[in-house]
Amino acid sequence: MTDGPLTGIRVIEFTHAWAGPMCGRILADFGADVIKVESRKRLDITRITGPWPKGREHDPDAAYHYLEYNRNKRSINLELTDSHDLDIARRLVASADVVVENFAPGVLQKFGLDYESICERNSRVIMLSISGFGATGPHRSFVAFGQQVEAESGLMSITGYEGGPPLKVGVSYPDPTAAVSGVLAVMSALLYRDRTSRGQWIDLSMLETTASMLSGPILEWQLTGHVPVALGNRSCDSAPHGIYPCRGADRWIALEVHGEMEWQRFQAAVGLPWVLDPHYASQSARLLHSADLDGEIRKWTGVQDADELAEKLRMCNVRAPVVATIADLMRDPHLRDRGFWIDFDTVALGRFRSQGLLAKLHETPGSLRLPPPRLGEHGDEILAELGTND
Amino acid sequence: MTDQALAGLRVVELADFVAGAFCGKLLADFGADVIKVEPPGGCSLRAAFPVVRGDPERAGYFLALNTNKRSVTADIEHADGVAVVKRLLLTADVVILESEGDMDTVGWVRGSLKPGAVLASITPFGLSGPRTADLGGDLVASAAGGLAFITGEPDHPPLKAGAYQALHLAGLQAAASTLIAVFAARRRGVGQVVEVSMQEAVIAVLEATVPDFFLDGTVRSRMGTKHPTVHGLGMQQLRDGAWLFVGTLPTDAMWDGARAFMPDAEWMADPRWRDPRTRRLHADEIDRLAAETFSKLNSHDAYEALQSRRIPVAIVNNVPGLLASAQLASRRFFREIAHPIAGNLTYPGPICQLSVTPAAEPRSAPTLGEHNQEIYMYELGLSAEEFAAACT
Repeated sequence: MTDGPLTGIRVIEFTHAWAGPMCGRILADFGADVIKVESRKRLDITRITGPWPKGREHDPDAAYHYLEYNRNKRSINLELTDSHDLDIARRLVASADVVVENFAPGVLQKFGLDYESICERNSRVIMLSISGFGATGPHRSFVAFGQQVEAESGLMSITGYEGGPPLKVGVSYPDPTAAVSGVLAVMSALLYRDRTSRGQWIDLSMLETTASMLSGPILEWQLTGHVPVALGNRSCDSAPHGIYPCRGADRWIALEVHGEMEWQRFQAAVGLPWVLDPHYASQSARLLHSADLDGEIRKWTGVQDADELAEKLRMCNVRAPVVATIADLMRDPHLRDRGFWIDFDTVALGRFRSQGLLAKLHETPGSLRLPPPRLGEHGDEILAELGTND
Repeated sequence: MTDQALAGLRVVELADFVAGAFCGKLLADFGADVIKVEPPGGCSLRAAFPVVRGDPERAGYFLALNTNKRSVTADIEHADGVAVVKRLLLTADVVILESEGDMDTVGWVRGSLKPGAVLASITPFGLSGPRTADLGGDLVASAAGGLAFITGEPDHPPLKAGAYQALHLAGLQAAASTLIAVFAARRRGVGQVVEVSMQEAVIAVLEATVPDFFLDGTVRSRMGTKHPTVHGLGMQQLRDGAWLFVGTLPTDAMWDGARAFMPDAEWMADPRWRDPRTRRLHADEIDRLAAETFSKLNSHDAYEALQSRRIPVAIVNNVPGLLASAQLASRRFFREIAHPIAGNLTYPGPICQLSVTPAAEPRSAPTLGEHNQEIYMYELGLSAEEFAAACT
C-alpha cells in the first residue's frame, strides 16, 4: 500500500450526495483511512439517482455519481436505528481522528453521534459538519441542495448572458467548493491539534463557503453603488474577452487579450485589415467598441476549425484555448502527459476512469489504493479491527 | 486573543492576481502570518475593476482578497529586490507562487526555500506537459477545464461563471492541498512543491461528467438551469419580479408537497411526470405550465411556505439580497472592517466556523508596502542601507 501524507489518519464519514463524499475522497486520496458508514434503508442518494450503465440499472454499486465521489474508501453498512449497529458506529467514531458528516443539522444528535457526545469518549476528535446554511440561525433547517445554495449566494445573479435571467453554473457548484473548504478546515484543525492536543467542531455552511468566493462583487456593490449583474463572458478591464463560434456543431474558442503587447500578437495572428481599425487601437478603445470587435472576431473564427485556430493562436502566445467538451479533455495530450486521469478496475463495471487528484504533491503524492467500495464491502474487516466477534 | 488554528505558520505570497491572493487569504483567515510581496507599483488586483477613481487603495478585489495580510514591496526585476525577497523566503513555512508557468521564477524561488518548506505553485496548466508555458486566465481556465462548455443555455454560447470563479477554485484547492503538505512537513520533515493547475482545478468540479462520458459516451452539454437527472419546477419568476429556483424535487414527498401548496395546479397530476426519474424528460413542458402558477405568487410567501413543507426552493439573491440575509446576519458572517483609505466596508467572513479557534476580528487589506519597515528592518534585520536599496 502506498504511503500518503495523511496515512495514519482515520476518518469516519456519515455522508451522502456530493459535498460530504468528495471531502472524504480527497482525504482518502492522500492516504487517510476513510470509512464510509452507509445505510441500506437510506442509501446515499448518488447510489439511487444514477445514471447507470446499460444492464446495471438501479444497481447501487454501479451508479456513476457514487463511483466518482467515493474511491479509496472502505464501506460498512450500519443502521443507526438499530441499537447494536449504533453501538458499533459509536465505537468507530471513538477511534476517529476526523468525523465528516452532511446530514441536516441536528440529525446525528438524535443518535448521540454529535460532536459533544463523541467528545465524551474521544476528546481529540475533529468533526466537520457540512450543511446548506450552517448549524445555527433561522434557516438552519431549511432544505437545500447545492443548486439552491447557489441561488441564495448571489452567484446566479452574476452568471448569465447580459440582460438575461439568472443562470446556474453547469454543475452543483457549492458542493465541490464546500468539499474542498472542508478539507482546508479539517487540515487546519489537524495542525492545531498537533500543537495543542485539542480537537474541535467545524460548522460549515455551504452558503457561506460560496459567498466567500464572491467577495469581489460584494465589495463592488459597496464601492460603486451599482448592483453587480451578469456580463456574459465580458471583462470590465480588457477586450476582446469572450467565447467565439468556430466551424462545425457546437465548437468554440475562448479568447482573452490583455494590454497592448498581447493585442499586437493577436493582430499579427489575424493578419486582416480590420485588426488595424483605429477604433481598436487601445485597450480603452477596444472596451468601448467591444460589440463591434466581437462581431469581427466571430466572422473570423466562424469559418475556422476550433482546434487548428487554438493551436495557431497558441503559437502566437495568445490566450485562446478550445472550449473543451469532456470528449476533448479525455483526449487532451497535455492532461495525458501529466498523468491526470486515474484509471482503475471495478467489480461492477470493469475499467473505470476518474478525475485526477486535487493537486500534485511532489514528494508525498496521493494515489489510488482502492476502487469505490460496494455497499458494506468492508463490514467484516472493520468489525474485526474493532475486535467485535459478531 | 484566542489562539488561531494556523498561528505560527509563516506564509510568503508572491501573487499578482486572484488565485494566489485567495489562497493566501484563506490561510490568513485561519491565523497564518501571510506576507504579500508586491512590485513597487502594486499588484494587478489594485488596478482591476472595480477601482474607485483609479486609487489602488480602493480596488474591490484587492481589498476583498487581502484581509489579514501584511504587505511589503520588492522589485524582483532587480538584484536588490531579489536579494531581499530571498531573505524573506528563508523565513517562510509556505510560499505561494502564482505564475504563468515561468520556470525561471519557479526555479529561483524553489531554490531559496528553507528545508521542510512548502512551495504552492499555481499556474494555468501546471508545471509539466506541453502547455506548461501557455498563458491563462479565468476565462481560459473555465474553457480549458470543461466548465464553460456546460454552463449556459442549450442554444446559446458557452459561459463562464461570474466573478473569477475558476481562479477562486484554483486558490481554494491550493490552500487545502498546501495544508496537506504542511501536515507532511510537520510530521515527517519533508518539504515539497504542491502543484496546482487552474485547468485541473476546474476539472475537479465537473460532477459526474467524466464517468458519463467514459462509460457510455455521453458528452454533457449546456442545460440552462436544469439538472442532468432530476427535475422539479424550474426557475420561476414571481409576481413581484423575484426569481424562485425550484430546480430539483428528487423525491415523491417533495413533488407532493409542492402540489399540496398549489392546489389549483391541476396539471401537476399528469401521470407523465409523477415519477421523479422520468420528470426530466418533460422539463420544458413542466416549466412552462408552472410559470403561470408561480406568476401569481409573492416571493416571501412562496419561499417560506414551500420551505416549511421541506421543499428545497431558493430565492435567487443578488448581492444586496445576500448582504440582507437574516441567516447570515444571525451567524455574524459579514464583518465591517475599517480601512484607512477605503473606509468602512462589509466583507464576507471566513469559509467556515471553527469552535475552538474562531476567527479573530479581521484586519483590513494592507496599504501598498505598509509593512516594509516592520518586516524588513525589525523582523529581517536589514540595515538602513539595505532597506533603502530594497525599497527605493
